[in-house]
Amino acid sequence: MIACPSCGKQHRPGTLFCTECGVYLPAGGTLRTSPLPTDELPRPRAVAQERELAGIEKSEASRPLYLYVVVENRRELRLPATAEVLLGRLDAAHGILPDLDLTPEGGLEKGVSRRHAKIIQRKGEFFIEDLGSANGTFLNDQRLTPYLPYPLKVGDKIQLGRVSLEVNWEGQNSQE
Amino acid sequence: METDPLLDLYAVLGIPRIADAEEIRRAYRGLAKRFHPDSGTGEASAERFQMIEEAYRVLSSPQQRREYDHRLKLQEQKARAVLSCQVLTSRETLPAMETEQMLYLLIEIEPRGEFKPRRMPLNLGLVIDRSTSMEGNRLNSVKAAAHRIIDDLQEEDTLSVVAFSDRAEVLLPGQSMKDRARAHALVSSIWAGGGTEILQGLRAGLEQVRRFQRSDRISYLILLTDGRTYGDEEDCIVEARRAGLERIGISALGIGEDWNDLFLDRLVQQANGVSVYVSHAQQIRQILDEQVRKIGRLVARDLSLTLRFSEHVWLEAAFCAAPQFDRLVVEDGTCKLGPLFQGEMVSALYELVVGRAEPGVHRLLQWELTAEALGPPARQERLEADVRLNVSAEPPPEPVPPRILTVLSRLSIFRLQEQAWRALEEGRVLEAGRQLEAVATRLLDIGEYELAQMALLEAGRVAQGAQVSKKGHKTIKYGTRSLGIRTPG
Repeated sequence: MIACPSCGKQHRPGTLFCTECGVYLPAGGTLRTSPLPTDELPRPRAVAQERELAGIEKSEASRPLYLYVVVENRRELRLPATAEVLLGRLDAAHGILPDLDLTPEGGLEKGVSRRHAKIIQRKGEFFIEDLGSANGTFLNDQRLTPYLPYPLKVGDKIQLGRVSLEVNWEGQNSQE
Repeated sequence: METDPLLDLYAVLGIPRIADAEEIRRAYRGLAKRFHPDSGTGEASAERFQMIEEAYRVLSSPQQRREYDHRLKLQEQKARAVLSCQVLTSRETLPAMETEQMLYLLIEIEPRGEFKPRRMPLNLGLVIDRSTSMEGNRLNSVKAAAHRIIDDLQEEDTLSVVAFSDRAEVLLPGQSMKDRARAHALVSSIWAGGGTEILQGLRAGLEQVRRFQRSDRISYLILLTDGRTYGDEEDCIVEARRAGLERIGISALGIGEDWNDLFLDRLVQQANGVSVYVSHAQQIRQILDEQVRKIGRLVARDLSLTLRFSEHVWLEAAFCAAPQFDRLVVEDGTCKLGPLFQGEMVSALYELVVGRAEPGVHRLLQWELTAEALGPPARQERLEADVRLNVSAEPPPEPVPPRILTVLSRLSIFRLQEQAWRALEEGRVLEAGRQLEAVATRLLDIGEYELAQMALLEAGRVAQGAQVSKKGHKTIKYGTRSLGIRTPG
């Protein structure tokens, strides 16, 4: 039997989630190698970057530093291209503070979820992932499967609910 | 589990399926002479000859021919099937063990990719609660939604509208959509007043739908209510069961907080339907619209899955994982999975206990899926297969399939809230509070902030000895239930 690390309930070997408290049971032995269930695990960036840097000149190893987002062909925003950029609608009461808040674009009426989608940077490439939004995220008119990252190209059209965006980015070699 | 497709041995010998032993022998003799490597006819082919030999070997033995016929029939059924079924287990190789261990089984059923259904005419009945509590926004939104449906339906469709309070009134007798203006006018005339007696409305609504019920139409009744019905609940269930048997579906929209969720859930389960929680009047139009569109995409109904377990294997618990989380009632190994719509999937998750695992390859279970696939022509569909599993003293490390993990992680949240409500009912207040907190934590983990907030709020209420709010209860119940993954992977 294996004991739940959180509540101590005993389970048969092979059990993955505690029925008592819902905790994932990374029980001993080979089960330990299983991936964790959440879609939002931090990814092993450090390793990936080291490998990338190893064979390449430092100057070439530049990664995009800024992400430009043109919202509805009017507002252009420059966002620091951090590991993750959250797109959605501000809800201070619930502590949801997206990096790109689409409230001014009429996000609520146009069906933007509070946590709608995120742009992820990995090894200098950008991906977009829908966060299970109510009205979906579209990449060049294709609806994305929630919780799966899709690669982005410069100039791609993204649609969150009925709000459309265009993404661009630029790499910079010098430190600012 | 896919095996190579069977060769059509009858085609190899060029004979009909009903050929008798003499015909088989004659065909074989002729072909064997022609293709024999030493025949010198110019057509000699060792490969072809081998195929002919093999075909004769199988078909000339009555026993082997029977087995082959059976397998060929299954294969052809599968090729024509509208549904496809994917079976996943949490491990492919079990560690050999004398003691009990858990194994998870996920069965996902979806329409086959290439299957494009033709739109079937709808025979739709709306049954609208017009009790006093519906007055104002709610009834206005329902009317707006009904107007929209009248505009969206096609001419081949039929619609009936029944309004009910203490008694039922057929507003729009079932009719085709040729005279939309009249339908609009009649819907506009609904006014609010009176109590809620669902049985009255249900009976009148079903009567209208029955008048246009035909095998080449999809018949559904949609009930919109915001209140509780008293005393007639069991009669309603009986009506719904009868409708289900007659191939009339029933879905329900519960508006606001005062309706009886357990009752509506049971009602729609009888008749291939779903119940939906509508928290605000503004949502009625969108949700009703979605439901009507969905009904038009019906691919199959009365999905029924039967599992037969091998020795040393038994069922611990069974859940519906899509289109929404729910407990499955298993009777004699069979559970009802309801309808399947285009673009969606139905899936079931089974928790199995393997009592004893010895090294080797073992059959874990057999499954069989039956459903009525919608036509034209409608027909009964049947798929079946075995699930086999390796057992090894030293199993290689293997990751759990991500789909199983995702389902389990979300299902565990649904189960936790179920337990919390049960604990609360039984007066185990502290435990209920703790479980609601755990629900909130797990919801935060998967990014469901709004639901998490609601769970935390209710956990706080419980901790202070207060009642759980009706809104909180419904939001959490229907919210966690729909955390399932609805679209095929």
